[in-house]
Amino acid sequence: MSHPGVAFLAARFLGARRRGGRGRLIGAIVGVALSVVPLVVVQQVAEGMIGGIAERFIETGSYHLQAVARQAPDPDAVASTLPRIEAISGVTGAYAERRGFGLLYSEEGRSGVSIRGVSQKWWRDDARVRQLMEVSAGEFDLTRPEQIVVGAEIATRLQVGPGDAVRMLTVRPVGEGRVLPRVSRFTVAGVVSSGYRDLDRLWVFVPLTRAQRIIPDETATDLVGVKVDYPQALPNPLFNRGLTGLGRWDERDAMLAAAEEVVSIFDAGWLVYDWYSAERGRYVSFLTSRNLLTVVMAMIVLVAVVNISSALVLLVVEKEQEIAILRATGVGSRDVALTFVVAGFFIGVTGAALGAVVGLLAAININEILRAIEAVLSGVTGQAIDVFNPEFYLSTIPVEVQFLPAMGSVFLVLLLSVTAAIIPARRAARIPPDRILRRGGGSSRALGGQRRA
Amino acid sequence: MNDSTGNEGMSLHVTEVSKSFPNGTRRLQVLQDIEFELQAGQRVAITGESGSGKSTLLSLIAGLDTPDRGSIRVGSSAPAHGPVHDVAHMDDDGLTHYRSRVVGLMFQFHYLLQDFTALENVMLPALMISSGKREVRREIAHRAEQLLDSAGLGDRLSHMPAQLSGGERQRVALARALVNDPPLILADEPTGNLDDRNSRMVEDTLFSLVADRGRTLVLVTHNRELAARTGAVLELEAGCLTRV
Repeated sequence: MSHPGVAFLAARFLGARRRGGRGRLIGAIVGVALSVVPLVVVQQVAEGMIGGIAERFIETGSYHLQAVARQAPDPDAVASTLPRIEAISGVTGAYAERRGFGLLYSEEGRSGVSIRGVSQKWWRDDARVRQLMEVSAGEFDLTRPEQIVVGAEIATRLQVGPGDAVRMLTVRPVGEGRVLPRVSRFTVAGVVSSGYRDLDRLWVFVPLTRAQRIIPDETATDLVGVKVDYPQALPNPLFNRGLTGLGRWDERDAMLAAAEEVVSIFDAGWLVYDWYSAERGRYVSFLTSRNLLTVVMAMIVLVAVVNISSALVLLVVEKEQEIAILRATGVGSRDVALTFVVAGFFIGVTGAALGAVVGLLAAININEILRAIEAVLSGVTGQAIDVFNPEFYLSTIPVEVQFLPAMGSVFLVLLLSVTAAIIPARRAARIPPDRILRRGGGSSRALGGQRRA
Repeated sequence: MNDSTGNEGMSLHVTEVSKSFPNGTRRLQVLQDIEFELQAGQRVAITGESGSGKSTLLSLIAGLDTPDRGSIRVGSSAPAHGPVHDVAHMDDDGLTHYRSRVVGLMFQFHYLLQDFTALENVMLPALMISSGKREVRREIAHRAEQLLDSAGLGDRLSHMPAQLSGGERQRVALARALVNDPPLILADEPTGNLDDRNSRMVEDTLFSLVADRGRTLVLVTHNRELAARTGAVLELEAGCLTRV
């Protein structure tokens, strides 16, 4: 058996000029390529979308590690813990926060909000927060107790901006199903946007000390948020880091060690979560959606790969006499079969490579493509159309090319292509060498007809 | 039998070979108890009228088909060509090995692959059984070029079959049959489709290349003049050997 000989034969069979034959093979290649494009786009865009949303949650919401108090802690004790946490190697910051719920209202409207009581230090020291949360009006200033910073969607709904007065209604349960309302006055200091509308319509930020007064202990969540050097190195199934998907082992070890040390600082009155555990349900939902989409797209690839099988079956029929000649001249049935498996591989690899390149280009430019589609649809229908409603998705999808899933797609296509070639390959291998005699010679155009020169 | 020209050929022992084909509800007896022997390096022609079973006999010797009964044994005095080949009872792997290394086949029609150049057509049988190493491929190409050159086609290496004349195609087919240096050459009416001039060229090339290495030759032909060049003639009539 000679693999170069088989590859040579397969390449020539595929490249042969035949009536309609080449068109079918090109069709099979294009079919595979077209099926790979959506698969790669879905993978990349889903990765980008999940990564983008997750990153915003991690950096602006759940922190990298989160210690949640079982009961309202002593604020002074918490404050004294923060420097100890920040002294841990690998930790970049530690911030106390109190969370609760309230109703924010202005003269123009009202909105249920998630109150986040944070210190000005959080905004000042955490560069990632400032990077991901854009101040669209005013400034993020919580240095005075009456100040409040609101999410962009809330500002729109309440029609407020910097300097405007708003009121916050919070309630304290007083037993027997009764609650005691409390109204607090605030002045809007700034409007922020995280780029994820889900967050922008929920979050309002107030000074930590004010939050400790207006959110009752009974309904508050007190936590210490910790930021580390490499949050993606903490165990999680979201981020494919590096070629292995595991990232660097030294980063992983360092982060696990830091996490352990953080845990050791808190007593039994606290529960410590990493960012993935803190929002596991949300991330599992993201991953499930991504996996389902990938499976659906893979089914399209499966259909396209069937084309390879049918194109190769036709190739076998067309090449029947040539196969018989090869068999008569000493080419083994296994080599004949292998020739068609290699032909399937060639079709698959060409289609997959083509599809992967186009898919990656489309994924990289997905925002521009979506804008163009929206522009066209809006032009046709005469009304503004969002392909991805930013109410639920990121306004801009951050796509960073992930080669591992793209390589996985290419590998899947190759595997399916080779599998699809097995049926025609077996059929070719069964062609007996004496077929050459049964058919006679001069009738076959495949064997070189008229002299041209 | 005479005319043993060397020790590189292989002896051929055909013993009580019979072959029939289904013909409606009955069977058509094509060969009946054929029996003959050739010594290594001998050249023999098989003649007979159309339908007498010449080509069938050749295909049985070539391992393209199997006889109903009897045995066909091909052996060599040269150890390099391996043991005796029991052609009628070999499995697929054995037959593949036999067809690729022991037998060189030529037909009335050239059976060249149209998508391959003359050189590639000649190289292919050798390429398919080679190790694939670069130097081996180079050696095969060199050997194929030499064979085509010997056949007077040194300037036709990169021509496609459709660009060659009938005689040229047949000479390419001859070079292909010889590329693996087989000790046994089987030729079925190799000049049957050619005019006199081209026939003569193909015949000369065939006999020259066969004699060159002392190969055993079995030639099926209607042409008595061509048959006479082999020095020995087997005549088939209605599936039976009538003259040896």
